[in-house]
Amino acid sequence: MAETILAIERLTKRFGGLTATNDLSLAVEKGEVHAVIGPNGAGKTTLIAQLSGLLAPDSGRILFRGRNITALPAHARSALGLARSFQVTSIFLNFTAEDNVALAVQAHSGHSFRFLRAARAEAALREPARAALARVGLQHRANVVAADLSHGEQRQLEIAMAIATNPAVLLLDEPMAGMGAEESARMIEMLKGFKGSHTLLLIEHDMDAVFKLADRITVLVYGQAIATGAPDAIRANPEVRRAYLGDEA
Amino acid sequence: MAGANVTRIPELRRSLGDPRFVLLALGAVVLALFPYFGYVWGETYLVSLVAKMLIFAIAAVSLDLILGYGGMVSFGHAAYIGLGAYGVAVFSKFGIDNGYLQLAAAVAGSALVALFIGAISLRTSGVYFIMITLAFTQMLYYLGISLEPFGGDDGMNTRRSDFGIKLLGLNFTLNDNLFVCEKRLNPNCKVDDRDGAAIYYASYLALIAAVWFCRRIVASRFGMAIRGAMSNPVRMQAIGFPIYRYRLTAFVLAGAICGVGGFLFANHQQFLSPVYMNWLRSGEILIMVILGGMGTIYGAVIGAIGLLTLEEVLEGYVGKDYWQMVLGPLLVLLVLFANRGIYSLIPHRMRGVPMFIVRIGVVIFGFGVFVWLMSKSSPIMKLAGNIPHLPLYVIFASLVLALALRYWQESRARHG
Repeated sequence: MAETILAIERLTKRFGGLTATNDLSLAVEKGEVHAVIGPNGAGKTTLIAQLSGLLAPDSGRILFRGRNITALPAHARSALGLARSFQVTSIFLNFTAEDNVALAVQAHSGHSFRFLRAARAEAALREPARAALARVGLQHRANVVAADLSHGEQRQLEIAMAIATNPAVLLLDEPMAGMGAEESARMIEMLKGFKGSHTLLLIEHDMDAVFKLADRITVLVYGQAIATGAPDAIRANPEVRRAYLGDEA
Repeated sequence: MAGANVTRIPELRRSLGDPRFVLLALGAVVLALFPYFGYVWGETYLVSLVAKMLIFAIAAVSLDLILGYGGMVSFGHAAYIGLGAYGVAVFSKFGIDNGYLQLAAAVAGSALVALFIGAISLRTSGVYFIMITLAFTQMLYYLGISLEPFGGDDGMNTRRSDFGIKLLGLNFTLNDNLFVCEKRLNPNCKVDDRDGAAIYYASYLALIAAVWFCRRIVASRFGMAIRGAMSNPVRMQAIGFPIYRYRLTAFVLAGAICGVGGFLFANHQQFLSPVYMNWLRSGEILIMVILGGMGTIYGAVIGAIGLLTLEEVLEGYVGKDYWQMVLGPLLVLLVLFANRGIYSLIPHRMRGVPMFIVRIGVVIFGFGVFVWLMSKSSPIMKLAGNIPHLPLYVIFASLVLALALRYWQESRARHG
């Protein structure tokens, strides 16, 4: 049995009368690609917002590497090694691709009250940034201003910023959102490359992508996990078919 | 996607192949030699005027640090000019001329007030930030007016700071003894002017230091942090930056640098007035940065020298009464046709230089003709008699023309 790196225990979040996360428990094991799927309104984005620290849960705990992080603010969780990407691309549009990633590296290498030394000349920032760009296949676009990148490339850049700091767990919020078929395929290939070396918690709408990538899948309906298991088991699960996959599967 | 590069840091290659570098280096040399020629030609008034430009350039540079790189539109930057000046005046009143003490007080006072103003106003953003910084500065302005011990709204005379440096037999008190204009020594001197160039050179060196320091800052880790916070604050927090601290530090740094400008300004004027903190002055510094080009630092220097030159020329030739009404539309024209500032017009490569010189020549020539036609000795006046407020009609007509031209260009670009 693999080691659990991120554990969600009986997490509950209510918005007025709506229970977006309902007594949810989930364990992400080290090195796995764990996908969370579910119909619209199942509470996927609410879940990731609580994990990354943008929303506070009403009850329950989040354990990261055995440590209770439920009350930590977003930037502190990021510092511990819990990185995330955004559903809507969120990058520094007027920076070059490499500057974007270097800034993410900088965030994790001590404080930034350093005033005189040129940040662009610091190998300690640039080398990890270039390595991360290479991992997502953007090395040839390193000096292009982010605004001039295509949508797919911006999504890749977003992933590069998340992996640049070697996070222990990477939360990916719909990395394939708004992508064409070709771009999606490239993103899937790229994410496959992270298998084994990174732990990914993936929230995704694209079923093809999920079944190709995930080691385990959790199905979320009305804030509750109705099933967790290997892709084949999920595909065969009658409850899941009824609740979510419908005629599609 | 040319617009996407607006706030990207312009990399200046330190080589003779970069016209911007050549121009800036030439400018620095000319400014360094200027007092000597001012003295030889007996134009010490010009030396004093340029010294004032250099002092305001320091203020503009410090504002550009937070405006062009931090996105903080401070409409109260004149506060630190005033505080720096009070740093001189408070000691001067009690007979203490020690320059080190006064400078330390000017910088520390400005930094402390910036810390207070910044800590509150940085919790807001956008137009609220502008309004709060403006409100605080106006409070300081009225506080200055009510400070009777320091002259209230009449202001007070101050003595120059003494740094106690004795070099080559000269006593550097920011006072005199360098290029002093005296009729008996220099027949070119129109008046006896004992002001000398010490304050000029102090301002010059302070400006060079401020530009150097700010350029280093914006390229450093700290600079990347405040630029990132300007570009995408939400993402900055998500990748682990506590951005409030960084922005506040930048705000305090800018205030402290501007405080040095205030210290120099009091020495330059040998006078303190709360008017230094008036919101019109804050607006002027803001215009300098926008005119010269935000997010370049060098542009702020060009903007300060450019705006004060423009004011001086217009005041002299168009007349004391309504030169500002001519200045306003002129600024609108400049911003319309150089909306990224004067600095952005300078080409990056040598092959762009001839065209640049032609363009600048046309602008200066056109401006010269305009001022000549508008001046009291204008031939239009002779032909058509004394038309009241002629410059106003002309400038507003040209503004309407320019807007129409701009509109036409844009609609053609959209459809063609």
